[in-house]
Amino acid sequence: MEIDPLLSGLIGMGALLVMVFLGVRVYIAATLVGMLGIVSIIGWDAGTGIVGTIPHSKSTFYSLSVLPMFILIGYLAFHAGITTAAFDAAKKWIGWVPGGLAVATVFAAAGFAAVSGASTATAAVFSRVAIPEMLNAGYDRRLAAGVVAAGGTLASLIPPSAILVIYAIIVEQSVGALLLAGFIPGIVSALIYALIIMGRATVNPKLGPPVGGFTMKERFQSLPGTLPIVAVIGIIFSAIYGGWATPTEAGALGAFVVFILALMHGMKTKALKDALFETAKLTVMIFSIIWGVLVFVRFLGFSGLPEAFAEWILALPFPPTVIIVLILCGYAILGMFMDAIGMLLLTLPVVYPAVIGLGYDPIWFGIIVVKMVEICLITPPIGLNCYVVNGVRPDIPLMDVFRGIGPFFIADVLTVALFIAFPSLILWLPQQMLN
Amino acid sequence: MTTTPTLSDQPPKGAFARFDRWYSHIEDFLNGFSAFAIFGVMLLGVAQVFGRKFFNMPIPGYIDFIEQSMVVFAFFGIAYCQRLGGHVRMDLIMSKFSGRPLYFFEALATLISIFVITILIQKSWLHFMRAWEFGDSTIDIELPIWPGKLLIPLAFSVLWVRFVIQAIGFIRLMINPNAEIIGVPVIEDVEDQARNEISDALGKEAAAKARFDTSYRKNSAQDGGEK
Repeated sequence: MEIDPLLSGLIGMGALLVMVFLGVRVYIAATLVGMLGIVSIIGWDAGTGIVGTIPHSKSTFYSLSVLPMFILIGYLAFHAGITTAAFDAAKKWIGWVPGGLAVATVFAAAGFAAVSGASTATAAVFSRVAIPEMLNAGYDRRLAAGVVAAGGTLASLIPPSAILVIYAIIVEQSVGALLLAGFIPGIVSALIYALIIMGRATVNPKLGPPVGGFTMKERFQSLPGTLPIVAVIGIIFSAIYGGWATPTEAGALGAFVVFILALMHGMKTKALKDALFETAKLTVMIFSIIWGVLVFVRFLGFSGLPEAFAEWILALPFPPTVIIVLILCGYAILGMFMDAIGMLLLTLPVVYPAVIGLGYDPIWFGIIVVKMVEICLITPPIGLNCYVVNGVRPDIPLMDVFRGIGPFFIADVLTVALFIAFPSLILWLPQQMLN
Repeated sequence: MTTTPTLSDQPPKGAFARFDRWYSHIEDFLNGFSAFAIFGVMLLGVAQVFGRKFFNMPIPGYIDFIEQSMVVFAFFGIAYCQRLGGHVRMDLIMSKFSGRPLYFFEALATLISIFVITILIQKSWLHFMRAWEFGDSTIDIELPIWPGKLLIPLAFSVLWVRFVIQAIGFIRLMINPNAEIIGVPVIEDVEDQARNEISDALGKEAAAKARFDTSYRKNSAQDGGEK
């Protein structure tokens, strides 16, 4: 029986959604639907034969080997004493502004993000490092909790970021360009958070009093502790820009630096083993979903569905901006229910060609989508970051964390609007550095 | 996402539970091997950069080595990750079920997985056989490719057994929903996920101490909470 490929693509998409909703692991569901779809078009032997080659051929690309390096940096970073040092330095340098400790938390989290790509874990660390100091200084409980939950989200934009690497691989763009592109948006997000805090603390000084009185000597003494951050940023940026090392090699060097620091900071063998085991587990999870989704993508390629979807989107009688905003709203809703990596990998094969067809830049869209995913980490009903803060600080009710997040959520929506209005905020740095 | 059930003081008894524990050691070992490979890739990367920059001696076939070793960390932990429920999925609807319906859908998802992995074992084995017969090798220093391709059906076979354990575990629970949970991951609610994140960042002690505000989500504890 002959089935129209486009129809089989649509059926496949539907079947995939049903299976994912019924709790089948995404890598299994994507492989099964992809396999049956290819079989329906080119027959059992040829179809399953192709599928059998994909796990090996798609997992042994050199450019993917950067993923475990970045993940390893993130897990080791918790043992290198970087958070305390970063918060201390930020407090001494900018604590004097209104809401100073909260602003310091934002910048320390941004700094820590430069050695970690893990949003929720960053929120956990700063719950312990920054919240006690803020509460001792008489800061509003909601502000303290909100800034920590929001600050964590900076991790996935500021390099090294595993999720940006995954995006780059799936849509076949330069890993280096995406990593560079995340930097300015990460900083802009941090600045907007800081402005919101300062504005609110100026209007209502009781929210968060300034913390001052540090001498220049104390300030400079706080700097050496932040050197690892500078080192990792320096290695990754200069490697990508100067081309003296591949992203994997830069990641390896970065991981090695953080590893040595963690040893100097007294990391135990048990902690090293845990960090390595967790790295291996997260790595295999990411690789599995990548090859699984690529089986599905191969089927989509046979079916012609992405092209048809793109044509349909392009024929819609709306301006591109309206369509992109609708797509982003779709991501915001999906993100409430699904893990970021799974959501990106499942949707990009179909959504990406349409977005590119609308005339948007691939690098730009990657940053915007990741920013959307991050917003989902702080919004109810799930808002994992908020739960993490509540878990570390049970004395702060979850409702207060969510209320504290409110202003930062508004800030994030404004940031996304800003990036839509001024794409060059995202594209300028990679264009400057890579051309 | 889901995680392994929290163990009570007494490990479950019986042949099935013993086999599950024994098999877990194999998975732990393989994941440990993968962790070791990642550490090796880090050291190799450092050696490569220093060798090339300072001694003008890059490691011959560096990229070939990395690409072949990627099979290890892309596949060796796959069963370990499955046991701990680490592979991405959506719990939205599943977490609304409990008891028999939940275990029915879990068993169904697991049987589907067994079907997929069975075909993948067979077809990736053929992929290996072709490389073996034709003697394919890498571009730079001509490492043979067949060992890497052989590892994939092997890793899938380890995963296959894990799926069978989980299928037995879920079918057993479907027949008797009140039986002790053995060999299957339970659905992890947002609090458990948060606890895992805290554990990664602050260590297991902090995670054990974490307490969550339950007044916000009144009916969330019904599924994952007390297991």
